[in-house]
Amino acid sequence: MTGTINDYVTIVNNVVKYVSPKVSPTVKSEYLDFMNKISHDERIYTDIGVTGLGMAEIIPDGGVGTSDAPIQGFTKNYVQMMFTKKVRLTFQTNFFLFESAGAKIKANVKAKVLEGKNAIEHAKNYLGQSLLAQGFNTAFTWVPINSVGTPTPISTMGADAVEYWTILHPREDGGPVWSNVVLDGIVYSPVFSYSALLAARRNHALKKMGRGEPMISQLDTLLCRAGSQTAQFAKTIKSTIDKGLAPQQTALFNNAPATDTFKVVEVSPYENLGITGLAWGMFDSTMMNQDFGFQYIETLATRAEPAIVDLLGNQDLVMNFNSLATMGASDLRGWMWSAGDGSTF
Amino acid sequence: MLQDVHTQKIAIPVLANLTGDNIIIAPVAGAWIYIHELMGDLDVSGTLQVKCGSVVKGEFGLDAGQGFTLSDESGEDNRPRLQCRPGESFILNLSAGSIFKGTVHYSLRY
Repeated sequence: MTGTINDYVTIVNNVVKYVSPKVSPTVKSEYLDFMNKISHDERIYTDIGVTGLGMAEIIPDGGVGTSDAPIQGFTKNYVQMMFTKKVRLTFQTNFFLFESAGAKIKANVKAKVLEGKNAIEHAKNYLGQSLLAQGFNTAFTWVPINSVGTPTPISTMGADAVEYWTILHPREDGGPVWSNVVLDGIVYSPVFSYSALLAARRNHALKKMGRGEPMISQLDTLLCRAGSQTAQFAKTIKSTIDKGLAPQQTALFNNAPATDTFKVVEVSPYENLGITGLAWGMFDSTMMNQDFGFQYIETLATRAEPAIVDLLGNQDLVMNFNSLATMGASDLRGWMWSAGDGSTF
Repeated sequence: MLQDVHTQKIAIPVLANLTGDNIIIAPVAGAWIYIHELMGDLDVSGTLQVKCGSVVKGEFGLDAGQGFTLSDESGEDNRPRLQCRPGESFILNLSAGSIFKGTVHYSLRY
């Protein structure tokens, strides 16, 4: 929208009033809680995997060892996307709201309501968690909340050319497929519970690297939606484990937990395409690096462009905030994910 | 220690008088339906199926007036006896000629 003077008739009338900003407090870059940040100067960033060697062998005296070499793995290209926020105010709007001696909106409030950097951080937070939530498919259409902006197609395929969350991830050496969807007994995507936590860690322990060797990794961080029952219950379970008690027992005094504690990371409830209250996932924070997990690849940090007046046109004031960045994942071996609905895989 | 979390429990009357499926609790978007207790009886003998969506969770042959109770297991704090997944209704399926009256105690898990 363009802010015209008629959009602010109450604010700009001749009654003195306090204009209170209705914006989120400080916007945290939540995506960096589960993504590795890479600074990159080119439009396209390419990630290609390579395995190590297979297991050694035993040969008889005088025998000849079998030759081996690393295997070229899977490739993924990340293309920079332009995150932008344009603000447009008509001449009178800008003058009476912000410039006049009797400007209705004071400088400190103006700074909050015209903070385009926050708008871009919200977009990145929302896109980041949408990748998690929509990762059971190979792509989705991302639409900014509040209907400002155009739909954008987003891929949710890893370098292995399958969706982020699947029971059919191929392995570099052609070995058995592997899964990063939580399976508790016969239930895929269980709702979060102690039983589901144990299941996630059992599932994770079975994963292999590219030549079939054990991954030797521990899920140490749980990610869920802030304020959800999943988050509340996760804290109960974590705290009980921290006390050395088993979260599943009514009679606590003689039982120790069957697994280790974990960290809880909560992301804001953007809803819509973002993660539901039921969804949850876990990852190995030591695998949140350039080789594994989600990547946030940035070419241009958010920049406030110089404000300009459309002097050849209607003299609107136009401000732009821009960032060039992209997000995605090549190899999600370090993650387990659950939609929390008891069925999705 | 809680073994699961959910909303407050809600008690509602149950009157299932259709042969076949009777939707007792409709699906709630983005939520599981946790059934903690189902009580009631049939007016004439028949078969009662307890279902979550199309999934049959239990089947019971009851005499006329025979009291029926399905409730949370003792010692399982907050863990529901039945869980209907998001998108599934809680359903009572009746054989011909029977009416089930009673109450259900349920909660939601978002």
